[in-house]
Amino acid sequence: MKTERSGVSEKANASDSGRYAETKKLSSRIPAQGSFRWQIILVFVVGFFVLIAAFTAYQVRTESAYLYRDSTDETITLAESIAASSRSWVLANDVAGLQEVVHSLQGHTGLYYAMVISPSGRVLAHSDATKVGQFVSDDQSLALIKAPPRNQIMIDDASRIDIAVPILVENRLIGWARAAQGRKEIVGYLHNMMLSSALFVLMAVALSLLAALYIANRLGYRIGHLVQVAEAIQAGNYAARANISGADEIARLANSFNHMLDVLARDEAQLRAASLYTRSLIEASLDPLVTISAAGKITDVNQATEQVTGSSRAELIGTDFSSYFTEPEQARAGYLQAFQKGPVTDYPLALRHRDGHVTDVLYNASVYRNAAGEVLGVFAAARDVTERKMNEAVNASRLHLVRFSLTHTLDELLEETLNEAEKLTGSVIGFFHFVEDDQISLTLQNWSTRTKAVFCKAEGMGLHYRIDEAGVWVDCVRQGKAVIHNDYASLPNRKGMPEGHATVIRELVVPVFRGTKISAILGVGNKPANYNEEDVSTVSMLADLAFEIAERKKAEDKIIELNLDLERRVTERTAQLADANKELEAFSYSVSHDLRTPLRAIDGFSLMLLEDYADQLDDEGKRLLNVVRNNTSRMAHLIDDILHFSRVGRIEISFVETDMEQMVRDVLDELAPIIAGRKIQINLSVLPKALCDRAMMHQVIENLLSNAIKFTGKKDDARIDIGGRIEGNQAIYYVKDNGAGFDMQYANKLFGVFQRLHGIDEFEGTGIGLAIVKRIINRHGGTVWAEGEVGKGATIYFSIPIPS
Amino acid sequence: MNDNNGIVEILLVEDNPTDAELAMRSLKKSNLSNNLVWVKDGAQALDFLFCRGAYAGRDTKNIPRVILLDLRLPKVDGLEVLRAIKSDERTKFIPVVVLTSSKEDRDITESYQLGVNSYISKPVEFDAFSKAVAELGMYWLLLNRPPV
Repeated sequence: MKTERSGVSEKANASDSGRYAETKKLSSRIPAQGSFRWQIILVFVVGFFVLIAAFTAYQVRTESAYLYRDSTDETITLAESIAASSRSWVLANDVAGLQEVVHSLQGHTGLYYAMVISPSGRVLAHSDATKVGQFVSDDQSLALIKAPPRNQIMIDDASRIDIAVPILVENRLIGWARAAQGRKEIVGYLHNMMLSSALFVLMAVALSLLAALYIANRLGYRIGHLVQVAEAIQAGNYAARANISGADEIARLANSFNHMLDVLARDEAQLRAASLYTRSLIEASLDPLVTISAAGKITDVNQATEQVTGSSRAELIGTDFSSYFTEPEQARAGYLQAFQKGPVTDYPLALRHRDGHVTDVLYNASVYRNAAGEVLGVFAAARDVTERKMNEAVNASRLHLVRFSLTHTLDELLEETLNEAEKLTGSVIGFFHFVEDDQISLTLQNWSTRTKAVFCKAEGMGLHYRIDEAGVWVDCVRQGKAVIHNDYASLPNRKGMPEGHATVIRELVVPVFRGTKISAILGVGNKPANYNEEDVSTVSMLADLAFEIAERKKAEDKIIELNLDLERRVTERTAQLADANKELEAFSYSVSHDLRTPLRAIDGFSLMLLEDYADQLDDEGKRLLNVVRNNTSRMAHLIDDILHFSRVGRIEISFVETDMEQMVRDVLDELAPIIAGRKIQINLSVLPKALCDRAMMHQVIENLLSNAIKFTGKKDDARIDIGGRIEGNQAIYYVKDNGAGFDMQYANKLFGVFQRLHGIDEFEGTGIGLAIVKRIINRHGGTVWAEGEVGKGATIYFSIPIPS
Repeated sequence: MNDNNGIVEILLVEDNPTDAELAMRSLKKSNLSNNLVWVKDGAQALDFLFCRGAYAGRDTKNIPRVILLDLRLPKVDGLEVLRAIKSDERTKFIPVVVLTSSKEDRDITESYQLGVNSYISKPVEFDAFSKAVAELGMYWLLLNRPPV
């Protein structure tokens, strides 16, 4: 049936196209009325006809006029000659003579008749002798009797010319001579002429018709060709082109036409490509894309939309956009917002598939316009955020577990992990086992809260299982990968459940790897739908995380333990140190008190010897006792210095902003007694202020200045410069002298306790001054250094931090 | 070392005999050692002042005009002795001069808190020591006027 019908229609098509072709052929031979060719032919034929006909008519007319005038002139001449010949005969009233004259004319070709009549109308002579003696009776002849005596045209028509010439004798009319010539010949001649002219006209028309047909056909074919091409293009054959050669206007027109077609074709191709490109883009998008009319109807969709709704493009177009969402009102509000307020971004909606499942999406929508800027509709693109939401949920679980782990035990954490795994996969069972390092047995570590409460009455916490004896739930250990059993009941190798154990319908168990070994397994079960790869990755992630946290928790416990131990040891050591410090203090106290007493005794009793037994001692004896006393004194100083030095290390620093220039001036005042009598040039430059302990800084300045004064002691032109500057976050000060100086290779010894670079007999002192300076500056967080040259002087620098 | 009428002018509390000898020699040079009592520890000093123990028979009204007190003493520490002296109505007006080897700040501070009248750090050099002891003896015995 179907084939037949299609056959018929093919036939119909064929005949249609045949008729069409025939029409075309005909139309190319016989020009249709009003067509270009018809017009050319009409103009040619009518034009030629009118032209030739007019020309011929003019010729005939001119010829006939000439012939008529010529016959008239001849008749006049004839009549005049009759008149001249007749005059004497009329005078003589000789009728016979007159008849003779008239008769002589008898042989004249074309003479119709000739006569002489008296003024009263009597025929005196006539070419028809019978008429002689009669009176004229016709109106024309009667009119002649009354006519003035001059030439009169009696008759002038197509049949004859009749001229009357007066016969005059001394201006007295004596009669009329009349001659008439027939015009039959002329008429015949003209008739012939007109006949031949008509023939020429016909010939001309025929020729012009031929010429017109030729031109029209030639022009018409070329134009018709153009028309055909145009019609073909119109019918959709964009490849059709005019094929006309030559240099005429039509050929040029055809060229232009072809060029125009090329341009059109190119533009069309570009447009088509652009359109295809745009469509492909729209279709390539994994995001559902929809265009919506102002009325909220879908006007276009891409494949992604078809997939997410489960409806075809044809079904979707024309229906309400909002009807595909769980909340139509919200969807409507969304596109209305795009129409009224402008682009909408990340508008949350949920698309409902035909089969009921829902896809969470975020919509972006904006209006699109035509070239005139009028809003045509809304273009809406949805982004499937199911995965993102799942990721967010997974991330939230991760965060939750990490936080949870901070305040809960390992067991609580594992239970919570299982709860999260249940929640994310929609499971109702969850279990966690540690796998022993030997990979032979595993230990049940925990169940999810729900599993414990509802499903698993079987006791099992902390139970050990051998992997080779356990059921299919340890398949993942055997296979070394995540295992899904979506049809648990039909598994051939499954074992029976212990008493009180929940019925397992579906199961997903994932391993946690540490290196090549499995450290733990995490299982979930009885999800209402089948477990899939997504569940595997979610559960694996949680299992890994739980194990990581477990490891970290263990490590943290270890760290806490170590820290506690460390703290205990620090406390212990601190106490020991404090004891040692106390002992040291007690020791310094004893030193200050107890060492001095015997020294004083040595000195005192030496003096007693010198005083009480002076007469028994010789000079050498006295000198020796004095050596004892000097060394006693020196030792006393050393003890004082040691005590002083240790005190500098112990005393608490109280930082105060200090005017260093003022402090230097104060110290110089105090040192005035030892400067007295010396010639020393002291230059104090501008010094930055310092944040320091005043008493200690006073000590520093005092030590440095007294050193400078001491070591310039042997110079006649002693000079001491005190200066300072800010460098970065440090205030730097220096005391420079031109005294004894020192060798730079011993610069590091300069600040040591009791280090001296000069002989005791050269410069006095214990060598504690700079050590104290260094200790004080160090305690201020600064540093001390020195530059010098033997015999030229020394510069001692110190820096202390300035508060930021 | 006491003269016969039993009047005590200086109580020297010093455990170290050499220091005591040096001190007494210096005072003697200035003729200030006539009525000097030397005790060797804090307990003896307190017994002497409050007329108990070995000094039970002593007249409590006979109080020294100045006490030279060492700080490091056997039995009762010098600061304790000072505290006892300055907290008893009978003895608190007696000028006490701490005469010690200690230069420790805390000793000095505490002594003054307890009401010491003078604090002398014994110089090691005998010349200076001798001079200091003589001067303080002169001052407290000859120049200072105690309340009646």
